[in-house]
Amino acid sequence: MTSMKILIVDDSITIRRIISTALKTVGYSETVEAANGKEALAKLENGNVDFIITDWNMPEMNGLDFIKEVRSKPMYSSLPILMVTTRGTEHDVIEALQAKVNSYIVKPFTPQELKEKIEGILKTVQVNTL
Amino acid sequence: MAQKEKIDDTVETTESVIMALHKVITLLDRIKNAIEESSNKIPKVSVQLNKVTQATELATVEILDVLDVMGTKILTIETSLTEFDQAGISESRMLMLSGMKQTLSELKEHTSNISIALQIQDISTQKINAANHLIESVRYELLDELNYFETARNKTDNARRQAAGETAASKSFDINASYMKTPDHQSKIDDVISAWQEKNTI
Repeated sequence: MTSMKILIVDDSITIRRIISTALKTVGYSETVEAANGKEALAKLENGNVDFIITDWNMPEMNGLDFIKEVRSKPMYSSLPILMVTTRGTEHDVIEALQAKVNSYIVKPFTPQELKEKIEGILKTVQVNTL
Repeated sequence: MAQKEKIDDTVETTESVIMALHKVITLLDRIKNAIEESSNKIPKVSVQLNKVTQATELATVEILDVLDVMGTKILTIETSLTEFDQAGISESRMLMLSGMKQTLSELKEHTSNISIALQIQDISTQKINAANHLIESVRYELLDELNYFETARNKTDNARRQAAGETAASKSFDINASYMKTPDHQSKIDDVISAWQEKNTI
């Protein structure tokens, strides 16, 4: 088990539960949840989030606006962000990358795919910070 | 004599115009009533669809709870089997133990697969929300049309305001959401990511 704290942002309680369970099975037990971008920003301010997994389509503040807001703050400029969404067109992926998301995964995903994505991001982040 | 004929013709034409107008008014009245009736039914459809979403979400969470319990129990048995003192036990019992471990591992995989499949609930919710949004938009348009009828105006004003609010405050959704469980889909996305990163790091 790793001590990394992961913020899960999704308006669907089902998906939050599935992600949280999947994370536990692949060794990430510390999670915090938010139902939209606004709520996630508040949770982020509360502290010590090491990684963000966010959906795109959410009420109040969608995932893309949330990522832009996070990236606009210098202290979160290198915080790893993985987008987990149903949106799978090339245009969507590029839009998310332009908003500075680290990687992108489409639903439905497996715990293994989630693990590989997280590890891939962490490797890149480590290389970039060396 | 010719003038009388002209007057008769004019009267006849006027009568037929009035009769046609009567028919148009009756038809418009029927259209108005049909629109009114249809737009009144829409909120009920919308509520029903929301109830379907809530019910499936509740059921999915219950299934996830059961899967959690199963996962914990599987883990407990796995730990017990690992800690089981295997010294001095017969070969047949060793085989049995190994079979049990294999079954537990398969059970874990099955529970994981059920959990993955339950992502369909979120995908179908987005589809329902998209349909609901369309229905609400149609309702708003119908009420807008209905408002042209003087007799319906008072009745529709409130409903129009409500429909406009509901359309604007509708839930977020992806109209193209689909349950595609193929590695191809993700691998195409990974290709887009790689190409974009390559382009943007040079």
